[in-house]
Amino acid sequence: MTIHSLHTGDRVAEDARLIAQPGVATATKVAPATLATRLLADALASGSAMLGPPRAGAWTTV
Amino acid sequence: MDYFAADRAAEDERLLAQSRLVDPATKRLLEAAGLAPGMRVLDLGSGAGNVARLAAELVGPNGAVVGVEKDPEAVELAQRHTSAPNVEFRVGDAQTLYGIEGGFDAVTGRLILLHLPDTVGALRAAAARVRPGGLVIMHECDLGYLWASPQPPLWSQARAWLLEAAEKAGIGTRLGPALYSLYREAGLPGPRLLVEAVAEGGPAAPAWAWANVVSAAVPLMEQVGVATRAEVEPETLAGRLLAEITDYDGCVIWPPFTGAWAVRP
Repeated sequence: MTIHSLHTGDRVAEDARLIAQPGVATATKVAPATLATRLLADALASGSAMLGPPRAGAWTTV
Repeated sequence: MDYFAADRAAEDERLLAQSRLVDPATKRLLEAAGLAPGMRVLDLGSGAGNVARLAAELVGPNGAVVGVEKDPEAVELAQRHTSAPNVEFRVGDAQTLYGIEGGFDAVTGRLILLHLPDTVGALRAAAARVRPGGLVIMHECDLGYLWASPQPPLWSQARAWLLEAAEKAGIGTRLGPALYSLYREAGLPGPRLLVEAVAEGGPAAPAWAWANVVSAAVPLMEQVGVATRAEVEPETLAGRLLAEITDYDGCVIWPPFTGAWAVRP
């Protein structure tokens, strides 16, 4: 869970600029520098597991 | 099988067919969790017996599996489909496990917590039947995930009917993703997790499986006032769902199953 949470935090931090652009949230609100740590602490405090996005694989023959 | 159960023969067929869809993922879960030759396993809510039979393959002739199931007719069904001498099915309550001895090397359960009024209590009761160092393995699904992609009108309607009926009846539909928290609440270590889903498009898409689930829930839907049998039309539902998703060039997603396993301290 630790690694996943940190990766998710990193990912959201990377996307912070994208989130800020359309006015959804400001970088100040997201606080990317501390986000991973806060997400992990939140998950630990609430006994939650981190769910990564489902990855659908697709294959076919032509 | 308290909540989503229609008539007996249909329920038996539903149990067996749907079990086969998930069996490969359950087998991978049991292997990842470390079910090994010689172990003695308790299977909660054994239903048609698929999980017990998968466990029996892994524990081998020197191991044993005891399945506990509240429904005597499901116990008979499981017995009819099981030839291994080291698998036993008993009528019993997975919620309390009254009368079930302790000391098992592992406890398993698939789609059982969904049907129990006190999931955390059931996990505690299950863990109490496992020796220290033994495994607690659960496999539950997420009925709230996408049922198909895209989600055409009939698929959206069928999903909404089921989820609304479940909500009104107080039935949890997202037990899979909740397993980690449930284990912790039951005083168990945080479990390892494995999530898998079956998805398929085209004529082999398992629209029939969702039709089975929705059809079996018609009595509940009528009871809580969500939909009538005439509206659901169970007799033609599978065909209509398949036709619609095929028309949309879409795929059917059988719900993601979360496997969880932890070692009892």
